[in-house]
Amino acid sequence: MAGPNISLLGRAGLLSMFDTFEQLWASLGTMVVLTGGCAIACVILIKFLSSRAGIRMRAAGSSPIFAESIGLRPGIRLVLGLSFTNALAALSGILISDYQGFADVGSGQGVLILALAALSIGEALIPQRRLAYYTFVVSSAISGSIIYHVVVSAAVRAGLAPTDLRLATGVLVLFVVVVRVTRQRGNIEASLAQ
Amino acid sequence: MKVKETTPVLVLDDVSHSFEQWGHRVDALSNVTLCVETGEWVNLIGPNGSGKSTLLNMVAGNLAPKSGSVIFPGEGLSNPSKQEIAGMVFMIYQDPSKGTAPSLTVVEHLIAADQVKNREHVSLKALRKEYASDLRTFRLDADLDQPVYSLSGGQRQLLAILIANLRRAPILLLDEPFAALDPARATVCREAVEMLHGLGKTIILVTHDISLAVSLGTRTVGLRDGEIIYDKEAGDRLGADVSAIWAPGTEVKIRKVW
Repeated sequence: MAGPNISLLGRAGLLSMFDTFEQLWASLGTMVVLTGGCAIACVILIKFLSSRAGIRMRAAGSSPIFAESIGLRPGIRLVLGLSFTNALAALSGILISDYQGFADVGSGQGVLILALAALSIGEALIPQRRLAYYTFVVSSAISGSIIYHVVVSAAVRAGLAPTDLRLATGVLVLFVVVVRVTRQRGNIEASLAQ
Repeated sequence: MKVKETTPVLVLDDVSHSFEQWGHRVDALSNVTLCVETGEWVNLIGPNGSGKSTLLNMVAGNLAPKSGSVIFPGEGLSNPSKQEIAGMVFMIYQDPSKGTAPSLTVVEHLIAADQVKNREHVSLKALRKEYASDLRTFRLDADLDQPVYSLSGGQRQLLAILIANLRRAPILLLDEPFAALDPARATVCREAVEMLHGLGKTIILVTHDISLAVSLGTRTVGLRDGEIIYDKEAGDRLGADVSAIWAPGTEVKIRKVW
């Protein structure tokens, strides 16, 4: 990059080629493509995490001692997993720059916090009991990030000043923390009762 | 001395290990030589700090000997790598949470660790059936899809023993595996280990239980101050001799480094 930001406005974007409709439905094509792409990525991720290779990768992440005792090299699997997730993160970075029409060095700031908040929201709201752990985490990440952005836009529509947006997201995260702590306490009591 | 027909599966050749703690050198093991035959069950006993855990962790590859070598003669391995050791040895820890991965389910543990039944052409569905019957054989009353963090300590320990059965590793190391369990669970686990021994695994068990040390297994080895001071076959073990190994006044030898 030549400067701290690049304008992509006026260029034919990756996503704009799907937008053939007028007016209200202008970004319908983009929506369909992104939703479909996201769904495919989720299916691939869940398929992988439930496969033999995926199980071993999760074993390395969950307990390096266990992984080593069954002859795995946890370090290598950790690096592979990080490479894979960072590739996905880079792809979404490309798409968001394309969608917004610019790329900026500050774009990534706060994204990690947003991602953690989104994951927490999803984990608090999705019932855990009947789902495999990886399905639970993947669907939590997706639904949590959608809910986060829905709350932000709902707050804007309700007339909240942009400077007060932090209040809306703060209240949401606080609510989620309360739900999680309550749930954790239930889990701890259940394990103590064993 | 009678001639043994079996071949050693593990040899510790003049192994020493020491570490520094608070500026002092602790000789955890000094010049230990031990030969374990295939199919033996060795009980390792001794007071705290006598070097039992150091010895076990050295065989498991968690510690490297400062001098001497750990040898697996059957495979021609001398001071092998961690991956080579994982092919020879499986270790079960005193802390049940150490040997298992909390966020994985029971069946995922078995799939990840299995070297016996898990072949690429066997479907995961067919494997589940096999594992369900394994759970019954080993009396593990857990659900296949239950995450391991929700299991009790005894169930986790039993799962670790079940995993050992699915490994090709001929040696099973157990570091006081029953210490944290209630008597009923401890019995179930002990019987599971006896089942593995019956299937041909070589067992090395660290225990502080005198009655187990003289009743279980084929041989009892006593350590004190990092040296072997007692080594008797099953018929020659006496409770009084064994309890003397734990006798007080056997503090760890500590030496100033500077």
